[in-house]
Amino acid sequence: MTVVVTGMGSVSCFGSGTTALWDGLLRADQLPVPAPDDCGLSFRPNFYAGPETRSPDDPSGSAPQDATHGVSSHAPGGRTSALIAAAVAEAVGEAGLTHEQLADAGLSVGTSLGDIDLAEPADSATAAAASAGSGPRGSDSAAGQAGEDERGLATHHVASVIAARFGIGGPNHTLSTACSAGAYAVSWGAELIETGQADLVLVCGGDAFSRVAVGTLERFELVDSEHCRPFDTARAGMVTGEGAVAMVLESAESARRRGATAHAELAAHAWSCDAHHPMAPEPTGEQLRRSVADVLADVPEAPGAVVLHRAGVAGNDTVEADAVGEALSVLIAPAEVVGSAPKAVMGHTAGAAGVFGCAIAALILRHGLVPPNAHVENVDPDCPLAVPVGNPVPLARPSVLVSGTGFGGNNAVLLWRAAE
Amino acid sequence: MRVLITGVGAVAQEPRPAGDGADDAWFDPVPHLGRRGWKYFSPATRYLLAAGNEAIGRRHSDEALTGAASECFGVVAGTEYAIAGVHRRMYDTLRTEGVRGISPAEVPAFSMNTPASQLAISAGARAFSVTVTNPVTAGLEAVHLAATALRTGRADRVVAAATDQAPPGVEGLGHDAAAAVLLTADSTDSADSTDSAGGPVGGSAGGSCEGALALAEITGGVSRFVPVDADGRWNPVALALGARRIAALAAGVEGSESTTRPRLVVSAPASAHEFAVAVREAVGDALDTPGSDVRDRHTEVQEARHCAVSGLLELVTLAKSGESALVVSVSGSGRLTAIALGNASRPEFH
Repeated sequence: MTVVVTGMGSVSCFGSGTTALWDGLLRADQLPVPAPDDCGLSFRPNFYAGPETRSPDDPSGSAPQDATHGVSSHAPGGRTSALIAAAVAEAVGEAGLTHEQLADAGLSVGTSLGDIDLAEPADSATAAAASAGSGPRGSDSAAGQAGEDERGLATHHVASVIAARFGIGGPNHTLSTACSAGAYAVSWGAELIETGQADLVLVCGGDAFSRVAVGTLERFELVDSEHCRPFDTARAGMVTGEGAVAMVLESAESARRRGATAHAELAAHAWSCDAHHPMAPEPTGEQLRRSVADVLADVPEAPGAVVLHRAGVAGNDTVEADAVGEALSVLIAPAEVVGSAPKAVMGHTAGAAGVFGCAIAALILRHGLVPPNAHVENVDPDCPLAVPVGNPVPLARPSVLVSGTGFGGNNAVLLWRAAE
Repeated sequence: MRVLITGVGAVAQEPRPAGDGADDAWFDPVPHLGRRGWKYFSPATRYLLAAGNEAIGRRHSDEALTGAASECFGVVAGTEYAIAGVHRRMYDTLRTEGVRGISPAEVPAFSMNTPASQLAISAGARAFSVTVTNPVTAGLEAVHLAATALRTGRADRVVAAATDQAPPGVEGLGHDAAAAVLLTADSTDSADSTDSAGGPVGGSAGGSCEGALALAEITGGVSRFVPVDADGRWNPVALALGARRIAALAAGVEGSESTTRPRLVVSAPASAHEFAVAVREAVGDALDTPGSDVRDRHTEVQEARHCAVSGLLELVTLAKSGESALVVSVSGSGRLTAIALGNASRPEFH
C-alpha cells in the first residue's frame, strides 16, 4: 500500500508556514540568537528561536477556527504543544481535512522532551502556576494541585493536547527515540496506514528550548558557541533549535477518493539500533548502513539527494556520511548524490528534526531543487557526498533519502519519491 | 503469522499505606543486575533491565546477541516519568552550581529512550529500540507497536516493556515498576499473506520460536482517543466508535480456538475512574452483538497504580494465568489502548 503526503505545516526560526521554511532554506543565511538563559554555562549559548506562540487552547491562535470544530483542549499544554498545534493547523488546512476525517485519523508525535518548559520555569512560582493549569479532567494522573512538587509533571501530554484540540480520534502515539524521534514518528505513522490500522495519520514533531538540554550537551562539549556549521571543517558541535512540523500521511487510495493532491510518496522506510552506547554512535555505522541499504534494496535508481541528520558533531557527522555513502555506492558514485544539512540554518530541533527532514525532502521533490548548504568556509573533505554551497542545485533524480540518528544508536531511514 | 508471548518478567513496588513515605529500598539491583555496572543507571533503567532480562530468559552476565540474530531482535519500551526525577535534579543543579555540578555519567539518564537503549545494548537488540511516552497507556502501546513490527517483518522477536519511577517526593503519582513480555513471531502456519505490508526489512521469522513455550497469543491491538466536547462531556460518538473497535478485537481472541470467552479488564488511574467506567460500559454494549462476548463485562475497573506500567502488569498476570482477555488501558486525557490476549495452547508448544 502506497503512503502519500497531502498536507504539511511548519513553525521554525524562519517563522510560520512551509513557505517560510523553504524560503529560509534557499536563503541559507539564518544565524542563531542568544539563548534566554546562560543554562549554567560559562558563556551565553545561542539557539535558533521559534516564533512566539499562543496557547494551543487560545481560539485566537494560529489554528483556523474551522479546524477545531468546537472541540476544546482540556489540558493547556506548554510551548511544544503550541508549536505543534500551529504546524498541525497548517497541515490540516492544506490537506483539506474535515472534522469527520480527523475523528478517525491517527496521530503520531515525535518529541524528545515534550512540554519541557512546564518543568523549567524562570522562577518557582511560575512553575507551580504552570503545572496547576490543567484541571482535574485534564490530568492523566495526580496533577492538578498547585505546588512546587507538581512542577513539570505534564511534559508528555503533547499527544493528548493535540488530539483534543483537533478532535483526532484514531491511534494516538508519542515516540521519543531521542534525536531520531521525528523520523520514527513518521515511519510509525506510515506503518499504521500500511497495516490497515488507519487511512490517514497526522505525523508531527516538536521540541522547544530547554536549559537542561543545552547544559548537559555542553557537559560533553557538544555545543558550538557560535552557530551550526555541519559541513565546515571548523564545526564545533550542535546548536539547538525550536520548531514543529506536521505532515498529513494517507493511503494513496484515500487521497484519490478525497481528490487530494499528493506532494510526495513514501518509497520505503527502515529501522535499526546500534546497541552500542547510550550516547555515541557505533564507529563503523554498520546498522545505519544496513537501514540505508534496506530502503535502497528495490529502487530503480539512486536518490538525487540525502537530507542528513548531520548536526555539526564531527565524529557523528562522519559516521553518518560514511554509512550513507557506502550504501549508496552499490548504486552510484556517492559524489553524484547531493547532501543537505538543514540544521546549519535551523539548528537541531531534536524530536522535530526527523519530521523536518521528511518535510524538506517533500519540498525538494516539489520544487526539483536542493537548497545550498549554509555557513561553509572550508568544506569537510571527508564527506563522500556532493556538498553544494552558495546556490541551490537541481535535483538530478526524483527521490530523496532522509536519515535520522539519535542517542542510543536509534536509526531510522526513509526514502521519498515524487508522487505519481 | 501469529504473535506469541514466550516470556514475561516484572518487578513492582507494592502499594504502601499512605504516609509511609517514599522508599526505593523495595528493589535490590544485585540479584537482577549483578554487583557492578549499574551504578549510573537511573532507577527506571534498572527496573527495565530486570524485567526485560527475565522476559528474555537471560542472565545479566550473558553475552549480548551479535550478528544476524541481533538484527532480528528488537526492543519497545513505554515510560512516562523516566527522566522526570533526574531532570528536576539537573535543573536545580544548573541554577545553583552551574553545569559543572552535573556528572557526565548521569547525563544519559536525561533521555527518555535510555532505559530501552540500555536493554538493547545488554541484550544485543539491533532490529530497533523504540520508546513510547504517552502517560498511562505507553505500556500497552509498546505491545501494540511490537506486535505490528513483528507482522511487518521488522523483527522475529521483540521485548515489549514498560518502566516508570514517578519523581521522588511527589505523592500520589504511582508506584515504581517495570514489566516486559517477549513476543515471538510464529510463522509455522503462515498460509496467509496479509503481513506483506511493504516493510523493506528482511529476515525470515520461521523457526525462531522453536522450543519456546508460548504463554499466550497477542491477537490484536487498538489505540483510540476520545476528545472532550465544548460542554465538558466525553464526545459520545468518539467513545462509541472507540468501544466498537475494541470490541471487534474479541472476535480475534475467540478465533484462536479458545472455548472460554475472553475477560474484559479495564485499567485506569483513580483520577480517571469515571471515564474508565464509561469506557467499560461502552465496550460492553458494543460486545452485546451476536458472535462476540466477554466474561465479566461488569468487572470492576482495576486501579492503575504503576504509571505507564500498569496495563502491562495486567497483561503479564493474564498471560501467566493462560486466560484470554481484552486488556484496556485508559488515561484521564481520553486515550484508550487495548490489547487482545488469546489462549496460545497448541500441540506444537507442549
